[in-house]
Amino acid sequence: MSPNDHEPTDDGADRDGSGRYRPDGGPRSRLADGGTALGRAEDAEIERGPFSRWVDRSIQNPQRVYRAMFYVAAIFFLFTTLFPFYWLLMVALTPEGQLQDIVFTPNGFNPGAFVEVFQTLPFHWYMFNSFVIATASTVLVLVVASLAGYAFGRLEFPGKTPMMLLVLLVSFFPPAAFFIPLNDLFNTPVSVLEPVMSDGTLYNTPGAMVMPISAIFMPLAIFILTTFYAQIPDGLEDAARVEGTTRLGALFRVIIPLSAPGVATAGVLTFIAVYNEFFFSFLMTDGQPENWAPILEGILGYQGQYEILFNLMAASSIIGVLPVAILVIVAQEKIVSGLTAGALKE
Amino acid sequence: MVPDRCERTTSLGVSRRSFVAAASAVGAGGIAGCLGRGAEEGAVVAYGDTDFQDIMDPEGELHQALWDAGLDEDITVSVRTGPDETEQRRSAAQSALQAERSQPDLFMMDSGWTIPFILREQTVNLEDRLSNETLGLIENEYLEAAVETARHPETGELHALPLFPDFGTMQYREDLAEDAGYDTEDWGTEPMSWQEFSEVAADVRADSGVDFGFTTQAAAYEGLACCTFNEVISTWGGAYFGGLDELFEAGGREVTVDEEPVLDAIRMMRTFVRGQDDEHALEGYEQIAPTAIVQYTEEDARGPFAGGNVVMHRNWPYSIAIAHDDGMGDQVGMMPMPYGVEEDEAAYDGLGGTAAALGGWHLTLNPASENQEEATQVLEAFATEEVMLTVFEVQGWIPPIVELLEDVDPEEIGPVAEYAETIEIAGENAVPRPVTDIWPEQSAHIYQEVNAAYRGVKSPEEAMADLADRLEASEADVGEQDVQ
Amino acid sequence: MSSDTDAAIGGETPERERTGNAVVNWMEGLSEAAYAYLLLIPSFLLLAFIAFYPLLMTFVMSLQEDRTRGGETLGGFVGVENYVDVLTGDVRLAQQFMDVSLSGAFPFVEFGVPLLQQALFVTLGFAVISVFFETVFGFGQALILDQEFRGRRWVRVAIILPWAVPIVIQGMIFFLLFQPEVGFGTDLMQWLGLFGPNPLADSQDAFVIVLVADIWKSTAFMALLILAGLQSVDRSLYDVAKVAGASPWKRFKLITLPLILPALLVAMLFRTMDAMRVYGLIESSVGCTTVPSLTCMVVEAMFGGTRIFGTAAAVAFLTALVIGLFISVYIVLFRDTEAGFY
Repeated sequence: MSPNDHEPTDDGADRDGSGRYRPDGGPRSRLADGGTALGRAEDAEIERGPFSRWVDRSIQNPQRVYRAMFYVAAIFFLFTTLFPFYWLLMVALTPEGQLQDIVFTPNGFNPGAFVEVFQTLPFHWYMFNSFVIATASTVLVLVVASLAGYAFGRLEFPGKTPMMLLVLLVSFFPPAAFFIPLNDLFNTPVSVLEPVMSDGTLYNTPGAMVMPISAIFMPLAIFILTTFYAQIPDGLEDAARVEGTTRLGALFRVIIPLSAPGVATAGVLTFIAVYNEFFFSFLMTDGQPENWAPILEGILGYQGQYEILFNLMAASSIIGVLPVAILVIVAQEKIVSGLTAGALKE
Repeated sequence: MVPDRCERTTSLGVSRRSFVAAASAVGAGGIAGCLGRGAEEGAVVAYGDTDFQDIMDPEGELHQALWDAGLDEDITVSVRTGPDETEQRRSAAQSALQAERSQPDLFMMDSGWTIPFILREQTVNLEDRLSNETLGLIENEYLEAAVETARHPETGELHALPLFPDFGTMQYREDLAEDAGYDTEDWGTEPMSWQEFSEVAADVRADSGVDFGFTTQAAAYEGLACCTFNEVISTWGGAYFGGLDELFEAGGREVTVDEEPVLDAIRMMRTFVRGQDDEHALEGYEQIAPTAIVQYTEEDARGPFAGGNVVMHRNWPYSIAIAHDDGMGDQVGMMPMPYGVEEDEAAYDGLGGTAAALGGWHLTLNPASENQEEATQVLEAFATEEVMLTVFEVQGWIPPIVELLEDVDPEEIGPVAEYAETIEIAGENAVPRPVTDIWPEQSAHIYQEVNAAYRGVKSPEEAMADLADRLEASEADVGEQDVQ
Repeated sequence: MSSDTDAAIGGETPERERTGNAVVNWMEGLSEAAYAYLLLIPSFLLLAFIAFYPLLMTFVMSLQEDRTRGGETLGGFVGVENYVDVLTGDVRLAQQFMDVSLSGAFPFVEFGVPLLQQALFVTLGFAVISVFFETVFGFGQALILDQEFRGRRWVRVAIILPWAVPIVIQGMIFFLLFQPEVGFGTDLMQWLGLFGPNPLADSQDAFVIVLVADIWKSTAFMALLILAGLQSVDRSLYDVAKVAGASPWKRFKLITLPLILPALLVAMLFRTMDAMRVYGLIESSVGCTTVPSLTCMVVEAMFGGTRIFGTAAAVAFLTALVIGLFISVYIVLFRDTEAGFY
């Protein structure tokens, strides 16, 4: 540390003008001569190395430290989150059979992999399926969970705690625990469906995936929305009600817009989770793109019985991530539209 | 006309009404799904892998051969696929048959997991369906080991039609061996001992400067238990359950994994990996394999071979077909699996000498299928020599009547035919895995313990003693099951 | 707004509007409790159909005997025998739920099989360690994203991107990174002296690999939720605090932390539950054989090729029990938050 620990002063003004005291009264200099020769901070700089200078400047101006920390942290996070993607890109660009020693550059250069992805399998079809299923699930989850979130977050009623625990209970179980009964259920012919589906079952329909997946991700959405809806002060809702909004209207027109960060987050999380979901999708369709097989079936389709086309898997996953990235770009505007300052005048 | 409040926009900038309408359309469409997608009239649906789908192209040679062999011209076969990996195909088949779905009509089943489906009554007894002629052909000409994996273990009835068998083979760099001064002429038909094998591999590696002498699959996965380890212990005369007699009926079998032949096999593999430094090394064997083999499955092990960096490589024949495609055809050869003890010195009948793991795939009929007549006709058509040869021609799958390979012309039909003699030897010495309704669990015990022994985490004796305990427990357990 | 409502209720509205109003009026008239139940009907209906009913069926399965052969899927009723068998290790699975026995001497428990080969301990360790790091890093990321700076939008997308990667790909990336010839991970870690030569086959090394892979991806989940919480804090509170002379740390401790605590707890709660159900990541990177988790056991029992559905169901319920017990800590914490759930 610098031999001159001292609080920053704006123009060197000090208690008794001698430069020996800190603004809070403590002694300033610990130099051998007591600071008579080198009384002020600026004069002492000649004796400090660059590190000491930096520390000195930092103490004078904490904002700089925070900024520096900010940049360091930001760069650290950016690097750690993006490097695996970069590496994935390198794998995608490496031609088949040359997947060795990939560090920072691909081993060979084969951008054709991104085209080959569509030639080997109708990958765009899988992406479309995933997109539809994810959208349908997200809409279903957001609507249903909003109603539940409002009830749990803003209303009092008997049995609230047990019911919340019951919802949470669903998340205790691995998805496999639901599978066997659901498999039977969705393969049981239901006469109502027979005009629509030739064998009267839900197998190979989007419904066979949208419903279980929505149920699996419902608890998270309910809890997120409960948290955010509960934080909206009653005053705002009461004001809207006074002006004649219905109860439901209050939910959709006041609570939800004000909880935009929470709702958008729940939506983004649900969409991403469903888009990338594997378990039910694998087991509820027969894997054909025309039978609503989702994107994971497509990516796994690049695995042969023994050989695995890693470059195509990598390329297809990069392509597959694009719609999600776009969604995140769009939705993140909502995530950061916080409470408008001044909305609450209490 | 429409009250204002319906026009009020949501924060998304979309009119609420149209948004709700669109969402419910997507939702309803999403939930109800589209019109049914049944197969067209006269189509038999099969569930297979992408290779099967490719060769079953309606315009292709195979369909023509099927029709020529007597299949009704109105009937076509359309193949559905999923992920190609064998475990996932088994899962998909199991969940489809569990739910009693009527389609697919035919399933491609790995010969290594057909019997559990037979035991669970998820297949059809083909003795009642196929013609006497076909049944005779299967009984007399088809590779016996393959047919055994298609029969009901207790009644002996045929429940699956073997589509093609597959054998573990030892592939090697003929050119490098010749350069090092070896005469490889007999290598294709005369198995050598493991000791000689290790010396040759080490010698050729030193001479040619390639990275490794030998790669094989030793990762902790099914392939270790069913195939590579099974091969190795068989060549030493050892077995999991006391020989080849009780392979397919679980419950109270004698467990023989802690016997000396098995231990020797493990010691040999450890020596291959770590040389004489290993505390359980076998005298006279060289260090020829990289430590990474304990993480290798088929493709991982094939990588260095395809890259020209290995002298000897154990793998299925598909690997040599790819080598030919890559232009290495002149350089690669195939030899029968080396042996540890001679046949007459083996502890159990039928073991010792060369051995090859049995793989391959069968076709089964879905009991809930609504097209059983047509599907049976398809099976009949596959059980003809012409179709078998066509399959071999277009895909390289070995015909179930292995002798057919003798008469084919490699130029015409494909590179694997070059090795017909070696493949026949492999067929004669094929060792199936002891597949029963509890094999998956037993296989997991086996590959975990063997992999631990290979890695040096446990001694061979310790690993096999632990394994014997677990296998005995599982045999006892299943025997207690009350099945009518 | 009131004028619109009046116009709607008033004269020239079509038949449909009047019917709609009848429903709306009825809803307005409900008591708070009744209205709450009404709102909860859609979610509970869906959950009942898709979740509660199947779970009930699965529970019934867990009370029945396995049947590996024969046409019948399950044998007769055996009560809790399946559960006892799983806990004592007397079950037809290759992986161990747990393998401890009591010993006379300190530390009074003996582990039959190494700790990282027992599903229960792998799962608990994984959950605790991964959630800890994800919370810390997620907090850091969220704090950064909360600031105003140029290019913030792109940094936000970049940080959230790992969450958008499918689990299979996440596993594949780390698998390839540590695959001997392909990636540099093994060489790097060996050079640092942290790993052995075959990390993908060694339980301890593989456990670390799985941890890193999960932290990479799931930090984004935490960051996203914490960020939403941060963004919901009224900025004016900070201004007031600054004027009053509070230091950044004090501002954080007294304003930020209490206000985002509910969101933070929800994030940690669900992240913990997900971590305790880890399966896909393990299977696609190092394999369930090397690093067994509780869900690995469930999947092996249910889809492993033997038909031991009774055991599989019992393992599933035991897993849920473990998870439920573990997160009861969070439930107790929830009681104290500002959101005041209870």
